[in-house]
Amino acid sequence: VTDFDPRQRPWYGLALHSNRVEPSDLYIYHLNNEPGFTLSRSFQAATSGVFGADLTETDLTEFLSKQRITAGSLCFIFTRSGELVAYPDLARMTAILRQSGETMVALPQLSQLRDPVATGLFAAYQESGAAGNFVYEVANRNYISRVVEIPPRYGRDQLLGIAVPLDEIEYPAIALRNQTLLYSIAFLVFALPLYVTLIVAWIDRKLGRRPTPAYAEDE
Amino acid sequence: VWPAYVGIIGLLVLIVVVLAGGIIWYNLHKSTELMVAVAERQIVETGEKVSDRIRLLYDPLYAIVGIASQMPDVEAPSNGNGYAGAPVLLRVLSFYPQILSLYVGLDNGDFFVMTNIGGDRAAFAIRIKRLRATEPAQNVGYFSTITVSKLDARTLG
Repeated sequence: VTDFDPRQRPWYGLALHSNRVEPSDLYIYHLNNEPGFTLSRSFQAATSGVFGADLTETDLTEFLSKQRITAGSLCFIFTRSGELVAYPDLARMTAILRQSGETMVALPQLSQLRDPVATGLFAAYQESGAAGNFVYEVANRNYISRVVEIPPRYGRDQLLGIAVPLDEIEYPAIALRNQTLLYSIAFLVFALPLYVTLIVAWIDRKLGRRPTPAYAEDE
Repeated sequence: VWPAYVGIIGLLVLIVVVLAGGIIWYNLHKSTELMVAVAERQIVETGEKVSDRIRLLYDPLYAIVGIASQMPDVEAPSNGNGYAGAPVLLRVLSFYPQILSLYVGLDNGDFFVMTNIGGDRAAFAIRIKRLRATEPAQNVGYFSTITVSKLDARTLG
């Protein structure tokens, strides 16, 4: 801690020449080596300086990981230029951030995460050029997704992405279809002899034919 | 006659199969449409929930930083051993567990930080560092948010 100089930290420089609260980009805290954001604001006094508050990413990450529409759905935050801001798996996110070995890092690129679902959503967003709903395909799986803009006050150029695999959405309907189909076939198989007998009797009646009883044949 | 029987029965069975199949297919089609509509609605709701959460995380921080930076004694760490605003900040940390730490960095390099170390909102560490001093950073101590009294560091693990 002895070599720690607040004036060298990202939150200090951001707020120093501003008269309002400035949000930082994601960076690694000196204190606990975890990723997070800082809000800071400068003040003028006998000795001027900057007041700051740290918000760990853990809270947001935990919340994102709980937002499961289906088992395979994904909810994450990224920037317009394809950088990752928050991801439900903090361990994966932190691993990428620490690759540089620095406590002050640039946001990692989505491609570094090696998550095809997240990358696919970003590609769909880039193709469209605007936030909204998208359907895209990754590894023969279709995803329905939505990209929502986050107000600049809570992060510069940040977007919230949500992707849900279509097959997982359709699964209950398909399971119900299969069940109905199975019961229908079973019913048809069991009812078929009765059905055939009734139809044969109906045709015979229409043709004016009457089945000969067995005892009459014996005589 | 039997070929006629077989033909008529086959035709009627086919009609039943086609009708049942059509109903099942139509049911699947409509169920899928419903499922997708529900999922789309859920996606919208999830987006709103996450946006609300982000707002809830950040808005108190904006207010705290905005107000705390204008406190009269905000630069106090440079003038003495204690920090006049510490009790207020301690309360703030206890009310908002999402805040890891609150700190003041001064133009002369001095630094004061109050950090949530309990995780369960029970304890916070206060540290003051003076850049010009030759001695290492000074740990003022560990405090309980409930009593604002000093805690024994050994009990914090």
